[in-house]
Amino acid sequence: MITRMVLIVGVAWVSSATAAWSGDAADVALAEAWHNASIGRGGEAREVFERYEGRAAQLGQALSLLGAQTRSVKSLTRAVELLSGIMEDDAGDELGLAACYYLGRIEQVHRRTPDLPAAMAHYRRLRATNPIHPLAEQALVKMGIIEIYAPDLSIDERRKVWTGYTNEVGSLVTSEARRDLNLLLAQAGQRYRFDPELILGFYLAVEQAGVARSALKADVYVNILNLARSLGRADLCREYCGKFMSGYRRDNRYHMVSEIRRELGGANDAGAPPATATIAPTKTAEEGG
Amino acid sequence: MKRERIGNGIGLALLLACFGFSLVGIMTREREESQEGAVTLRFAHWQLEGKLRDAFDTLAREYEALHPGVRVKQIAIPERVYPQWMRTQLVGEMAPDILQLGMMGNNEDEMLARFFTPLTAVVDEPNPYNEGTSIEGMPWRETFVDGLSGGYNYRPNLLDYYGVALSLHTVRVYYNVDLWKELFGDAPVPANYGEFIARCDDVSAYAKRRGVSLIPIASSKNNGPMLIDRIASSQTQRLVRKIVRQNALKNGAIDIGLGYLRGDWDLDTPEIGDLFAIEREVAMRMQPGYMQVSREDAAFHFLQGRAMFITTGSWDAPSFRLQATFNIDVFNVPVPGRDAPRFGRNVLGPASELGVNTGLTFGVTRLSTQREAALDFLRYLTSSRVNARFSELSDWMPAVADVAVPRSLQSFAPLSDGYINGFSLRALGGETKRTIDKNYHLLSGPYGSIEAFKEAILPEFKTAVSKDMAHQARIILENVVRQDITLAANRQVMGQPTEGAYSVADIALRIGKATEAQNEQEATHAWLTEILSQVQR
Repeated sequence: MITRMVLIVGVAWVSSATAAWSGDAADVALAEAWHNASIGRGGEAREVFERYEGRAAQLGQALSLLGAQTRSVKSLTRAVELLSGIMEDDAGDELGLAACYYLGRIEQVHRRTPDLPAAMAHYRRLRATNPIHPLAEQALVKMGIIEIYAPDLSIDERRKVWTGYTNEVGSLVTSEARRDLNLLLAQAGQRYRFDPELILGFYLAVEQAGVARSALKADVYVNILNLARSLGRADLCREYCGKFMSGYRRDNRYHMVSEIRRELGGANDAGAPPATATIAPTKTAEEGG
Repeated sequence: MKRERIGNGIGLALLLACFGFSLVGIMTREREESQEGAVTLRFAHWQLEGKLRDAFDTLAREYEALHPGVRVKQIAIPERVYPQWMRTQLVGEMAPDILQLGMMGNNEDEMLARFFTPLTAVVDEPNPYNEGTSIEGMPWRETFVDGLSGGYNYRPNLLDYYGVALSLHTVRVYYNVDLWKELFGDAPVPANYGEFIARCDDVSAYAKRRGVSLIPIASSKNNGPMLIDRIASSQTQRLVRKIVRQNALKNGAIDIGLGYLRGDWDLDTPEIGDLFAIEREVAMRMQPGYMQVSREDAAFHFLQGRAMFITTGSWDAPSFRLQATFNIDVFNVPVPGRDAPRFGRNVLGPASELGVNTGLTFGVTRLSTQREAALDFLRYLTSSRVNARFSELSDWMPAVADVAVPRSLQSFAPLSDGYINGFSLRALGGETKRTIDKNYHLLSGPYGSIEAFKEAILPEFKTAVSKDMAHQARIILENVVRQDITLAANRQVMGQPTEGAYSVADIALRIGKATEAQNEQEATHAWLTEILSQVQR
């Protein structure tokens, strides 16, 4: 009897240990696959995702289908099935929220003919489930892109939609989403020639939220200094001329900004441009500052 | 029959000889590479210019002297076959350790991700060969004049650095100094567009008077647009400020193309009329039919002393100097001054060249078994001292910050006190360029006129611009789709870092950059789609 019990316990232990070991092996393999996918080696990642089961592997499989060189209706349908399956198990955990977000992305950008109302529906669901999740906040930016640039709007209707989103900015928690929604509003405002005072405010908010790419930061500085100049805000213009000139000495716009700065007068706080016959060092476009 | 046998015998013998030769070559290489403790680094490029190969050779020998036990072999492949050769080597897993990056066709990002080592972590570290110089201790990437921000160095979609650069290039007008002295004595070179055209006409008059075969500007389908588009762009410098709705002092094909589709400008806009007029003036000083001529033929024309000027990049300077039997010098592409009576009203000033990107970029192949040695050699080549020496030996501009530009190259140093250039119509995209080029003889030929050219392109122009904008939309969408996958993967990696991968802070930064880029591009795509839908209606 004792021998039988020992045997049963032993077998149970061995099988649980094996399961744990194989679970760990799967985790390691999936982590490696995500790493490969993150650096552009999608083909290698896909092979691993297809070898395993479970919701994480399912997400990997779905994204691999979206990343494949040739995306067919069949592969998109399969991706939707996989993502819907993840959501059916639990729509509110990390994987469920990610699945909902990527269902929206499929309808917005991955289909040959986008289904924007369907994309909006997925994004709304995501925001209703967990509005302060980073992906839900990104979903708001995507919704803004869809609605502000919608075809067939009169200029007044577009301004109304734009103003609606300006009221949403304050509710955002993540700095990334704040930055991106403010940038969307600033650029759309310029493209449709809305209120420059508001546009200047959005650009200042973009800078405050933290710009990740140095090239964009230069553009934000030049937009601010030019808007400030046209709105008669000389001090602000002077400040941003200084910021641009000290950070972007090898930018094509250096000479033009230095002319604007000279016109304004006052103390000059920027460095000299690089000499013609030497090549001066520069900040990189991607150093993040 | 006997003859046939002899022929077959010779063929077989040749085949065996080739096989034997290849076998010996491979065995020798394998023996060299398997010598205990010895490292043989192989690097390949397509720069067949004599001075460049010699420069690489000299620097490789100097590196070997510094690192006994390391051998560096240079493989120069003709430009025409480089893409196929590179692909075969990479797919066949026998690529050299270091390859010049370029010519990868439409799937550059995929090729880079699949076959090359990301250098992001490495370029963040200082280059030890810069010790004792003004750039000592700086991250490697910041030691380059453009911070490795463009071209094949940094790939925004992959969020990684894949190469390091050795040089950069600018475009200048080259002239035959001996001929200049013969015609104009010690007169200075043209300082502006008006003087340039006057000198061109003097050359034509001289050729006619003497009955010699001499033209003002040697040109080709490559060289012609380099000069014409640069000069013509001066005519849209002020117009562009009215078209572009953002205040970033930038202009790209999308802003200009959508501006046209919105009706902000058209072919009858006065500035566009001046653009056509200035293009015609310059083109009329080139040899007739230059758009059917290759760049080699244009260079041959100039090097034969049958033209006073030719416009090309600094990359041609060493070979021109080697081949020409006369002295050569260069000057900046001449644009009209603001006070010029005919074209000055549209001009801000000469175009700034501060933003020019570095090139001659090399990457390390993913399957290289000597990654560290390969990186060390690249660090050596791009150190302040060695890049200066490379520039002296090759007559190509240096890419590394604070390297003094050799005296012979100072006229090629990027212009710093210039303005943002306007646009040329060809820059709107492939379809627009095709429409212009196929009718260009009506503008540039002696029997053409601005009116005839406009009349010919007008019926197709709107469709061509629309197609180019739709093409831009497709490219942006492809990027956005690709970024979705990279972003999703990075978000997953963030939650479960793996050994040897990026740190959490690095991943967060990568996600931040990619999200920002994606949303910005996606908004531009949506704007393009909105305007294009208006056009379709």
